[in-house]
Amino acid sequence: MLFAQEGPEVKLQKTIEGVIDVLYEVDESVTVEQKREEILAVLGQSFSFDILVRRTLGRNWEKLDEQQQMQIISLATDLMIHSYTREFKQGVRPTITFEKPLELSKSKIEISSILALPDVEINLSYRLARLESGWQVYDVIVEGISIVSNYRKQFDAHFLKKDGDALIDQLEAKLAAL
Amino acid sequence: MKPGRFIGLSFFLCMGLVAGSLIHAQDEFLSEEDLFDDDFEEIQTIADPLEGLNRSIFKVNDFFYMKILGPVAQVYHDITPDPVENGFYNFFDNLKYPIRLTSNLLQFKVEESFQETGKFLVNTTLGVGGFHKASNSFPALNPPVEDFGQALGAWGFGEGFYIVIPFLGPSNFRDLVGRVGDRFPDFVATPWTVLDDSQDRFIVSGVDLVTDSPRLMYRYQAFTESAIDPYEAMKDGFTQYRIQQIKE
Repeated sequence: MLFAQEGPEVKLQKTIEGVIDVLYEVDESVTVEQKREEILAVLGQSFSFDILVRRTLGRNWEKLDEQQQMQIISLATDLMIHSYTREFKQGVRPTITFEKPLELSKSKIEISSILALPDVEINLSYRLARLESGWQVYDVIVEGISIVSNYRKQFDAHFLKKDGDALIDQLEAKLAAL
Repeated sequence: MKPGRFIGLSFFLCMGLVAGSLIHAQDEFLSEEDLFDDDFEEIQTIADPLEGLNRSIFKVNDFFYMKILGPVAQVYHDITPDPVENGFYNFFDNLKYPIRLTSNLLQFKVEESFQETGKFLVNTTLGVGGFHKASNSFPALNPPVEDFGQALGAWGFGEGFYIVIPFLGPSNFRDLVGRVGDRFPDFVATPWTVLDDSQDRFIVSGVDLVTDSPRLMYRYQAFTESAIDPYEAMKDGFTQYRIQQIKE
């Protein structure tokens, strides 16, 4: 129903709280893989990882075949989730304060939040675009640093000297070491 | 006008408005393709003519952080109760007030200068010599952290090229100059130090580094742990972070 639709900030807030719930779940029987699936499912409500990963690859996307593209989306998604959820896993469940959305353009907004941990506060901003499927996060900015742009710089540097298979190997090795 | 014709005209008028608003609504949606490549024109890339040398220093620094500073930070964190750890961190942070004040004044940030001074006074008195961050209870006493490098940026000096400083990490030419500028109002560093003995200065600086080490290591690992190219990740992260700080 049109009038029952919640605003993007409410939806985002629910998503983030949902992720923290999963991260602080104390059920010992839940495996790492199950937790990953749960986080991915919750984040998927507000985050489009296809868009996030495609944005990190930029023009390098065209240098990959279809199979490489699928593999890199999956591996880079895991790496980005690790990078993003790291901020929430500081021993004590953090509290988050969301600010009102800031309109960047007709179809884009930015929602800032402050993640409060016992001895530090972290500024996290989310950039969302209005797609036909609803508002989706297309970039996350941690303390002024765009995660998408940061990975994009790394991927650009990678493709200057190496190819898609080498990137897949590197992503797999990185994830295995985490 | 006949009622029938009026109804018909109204119907077409309404349909026209509905169609118009639908077209407008469709315009407001973006497609995934729209997002794949936009926004990147605003992202700045820093020149890195010393990349070979920088990467070598980065490797040495990485060894130092992971093998020496990291374990020190871990031991310090493990054996020090949280309130004491935070207390020492707050104490040394409070001592850096003259650097922040000078940098605010150099940018003519009068309100922030008063806020910094209020923060220092509150933390030094109510916060028992700066060990407790009493200013946290006063939202007005929380100005952005300033340094001389930011003041230079605000004056219009470009960042120059990227530099990795041995043991200190990422920087650029402007911030390297800024680091020298930060020494002047610093209580501990030369030339205008209150500690005459060089051994005392070394010990105080060492204790300051250790108290700061858990936070430094947290941020360092946040970047390198999930990076496929930690050098590039750090370079871009530092550049974006400094641009944001200068904007504030």
